[in-house]
Amino acid sequence: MRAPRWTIARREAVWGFIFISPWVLGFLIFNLGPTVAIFAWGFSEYDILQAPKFAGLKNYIEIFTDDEKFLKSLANTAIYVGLLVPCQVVLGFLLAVLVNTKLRLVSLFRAFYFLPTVMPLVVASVVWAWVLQPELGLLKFLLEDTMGIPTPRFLVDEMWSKPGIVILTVWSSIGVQMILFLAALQAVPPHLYEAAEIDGASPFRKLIHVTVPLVSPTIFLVIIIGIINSFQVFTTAFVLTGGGPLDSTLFYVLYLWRKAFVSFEFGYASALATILFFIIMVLTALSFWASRRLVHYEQPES
Amino acid sequence: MIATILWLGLVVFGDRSIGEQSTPLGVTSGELLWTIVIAANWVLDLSGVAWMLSSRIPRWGGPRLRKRLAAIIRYELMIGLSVLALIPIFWMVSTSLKTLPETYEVRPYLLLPREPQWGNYSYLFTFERFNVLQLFKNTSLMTAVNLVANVGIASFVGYGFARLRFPGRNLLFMLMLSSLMVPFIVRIIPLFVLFSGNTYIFQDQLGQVFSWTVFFESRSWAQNTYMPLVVPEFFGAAGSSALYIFIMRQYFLTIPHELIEAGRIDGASEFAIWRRIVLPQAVPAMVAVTILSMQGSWGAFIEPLIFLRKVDLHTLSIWLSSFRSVQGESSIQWQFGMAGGVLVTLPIFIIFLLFQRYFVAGISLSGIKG
Repeated sequence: MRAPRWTIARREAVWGFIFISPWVLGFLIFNLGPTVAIFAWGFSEYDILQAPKFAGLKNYIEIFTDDEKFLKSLANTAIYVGLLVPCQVVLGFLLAVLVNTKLRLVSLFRAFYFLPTVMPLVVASVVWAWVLQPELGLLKFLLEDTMGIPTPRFLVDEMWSKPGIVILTVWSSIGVQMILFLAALQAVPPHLYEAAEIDGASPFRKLIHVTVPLVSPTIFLVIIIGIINSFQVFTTAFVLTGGGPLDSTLFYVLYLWRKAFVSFEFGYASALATILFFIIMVLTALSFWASRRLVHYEQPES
Repeated sequence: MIATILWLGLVVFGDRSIGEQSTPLGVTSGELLWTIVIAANWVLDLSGVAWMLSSRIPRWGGPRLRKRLAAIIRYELMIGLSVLALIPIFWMVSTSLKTLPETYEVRPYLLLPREPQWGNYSYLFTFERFNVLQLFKNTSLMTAVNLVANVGIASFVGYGFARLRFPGRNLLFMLMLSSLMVPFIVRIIPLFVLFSGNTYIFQDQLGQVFSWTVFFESRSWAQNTYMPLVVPEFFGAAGSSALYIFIMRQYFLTIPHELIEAGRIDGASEFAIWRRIVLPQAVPAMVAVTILSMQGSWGAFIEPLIFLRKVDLHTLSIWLSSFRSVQGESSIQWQFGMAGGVLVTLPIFIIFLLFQRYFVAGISLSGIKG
């Protein structure tokens, strides 16, 4: 009786390994291998034409003591993440609350809000470069020329370049957050609202005390994805501003890209990439730690 | 909101010379009027929302009236926000049909071209520096190959993670999900080295063990090809492959256990079960992965930018970005940039309109996306 059961389990395990083997191979060659290589090259001087030369901590010492652009790009990225992620969470949530209804035509409106998300990011960037253009752009026309509201010079003013990119990114990603929040809102059991109503809660109180705690896992998810993605912002800055004006949109990955693929300092770039890797690890770990205290996970009903 | 739209309508279609008389405030009367109307409308909107949210017991009006009003306010906000979402797209299409002087006119400002310039589109295909048809071919080919790779690998590996028990499965699964956290640049630099034809790293340090890397030595083969954009996808190791595997796994988990068990009792191999029983059940998830993969490859930017350094190998997104980043600010011919944008966006919009619910399903299944 025992032997055949064991072979069935074993047979299943062998098949299991066969099924995941392409991924295991790919993970080793294209994920784990590169990560290890990046860690190693961070300690070397490497210009891709010659084999890397061991250089000890030279790259790291230079980065932390003698590289203004490193600090600048890190600060830029942190400001950008700090502006963008709260916008995505709050606006995405409010938009989801707005379209979480059974009114007629609501699916059409959802499609409208999702449409910018479908557009390739490069196209969105070029379009917004034109919309935000400081002399001829649509935004300036709508606000300043027709209503007399002074419009910030979004892409050419050092102070307004980051908000410009944030506006574009919110526009082109809000559909995703809307859908995530919408799925969470629709999973809220109606009896909780009914109970709150019997207790005499106003719609606003229901929103704050019933809805927000119940969608908090999604809030957490949106924050984590937001941090991981926006810390690696590249395309929008590359197309909209190219890092300028005055390096105000020189984001971390843009700087890293220049080091690696413009000046071909692969050792230095690898050290920068290692730092990025650990920053994202630490931020994700922090978010997980915070989520344990703040996120409410619904207990499945027995 | 509604006032904003009325005003936009007037700006787009109407004659803006109404109300051009100047007022003591330094703005024209038309500007003043519209500013007041729009501000009043916003105040009404916001107070309506506040009223909807705050009042517990209606002070006036019956429940039906309240419901009506709530619906009206909701519609009004939704319409207004739709305008915000759509106006850049409208603006792109409208600019793409303008003449060059029209794009530079500030007053009277034209939101619509006087005469649609369809020639802007045909002009794109006569560029000397870029052969746009070739770019279309490159991009579609890459998208198609990646699509096959992603759907095939995600459904294959996803089945292993979903329905087969083997030691270490949960650990490996967590490992796979955490690979989504690895910054793309960390993957790309070594990939560039691997495919750049400079394989000294392997030969010098590991000697003959890796002499097979001579295979990559032929520059014409490895450098400036689509290999680094395509090969990782076949191993489930590209940027969002883990996501696709996750989507497929989640879907496979919903397939009834009895179906798979019946196949096993009939003595079918796991491969046959996957191929004949599980895959036909999983079409919706496969369509979702197809669409996400298409969207990802079609708009991919940084990988083509790094790996494809020859003009005739470029993809559409590289070409489009050159409208902005290569030319100087003053010489940008926005009408061609926007026409190019329309060309690049159109295929993906059509797919979106046809398969809208799968887009949404893919995102809510995975919870993670760009």
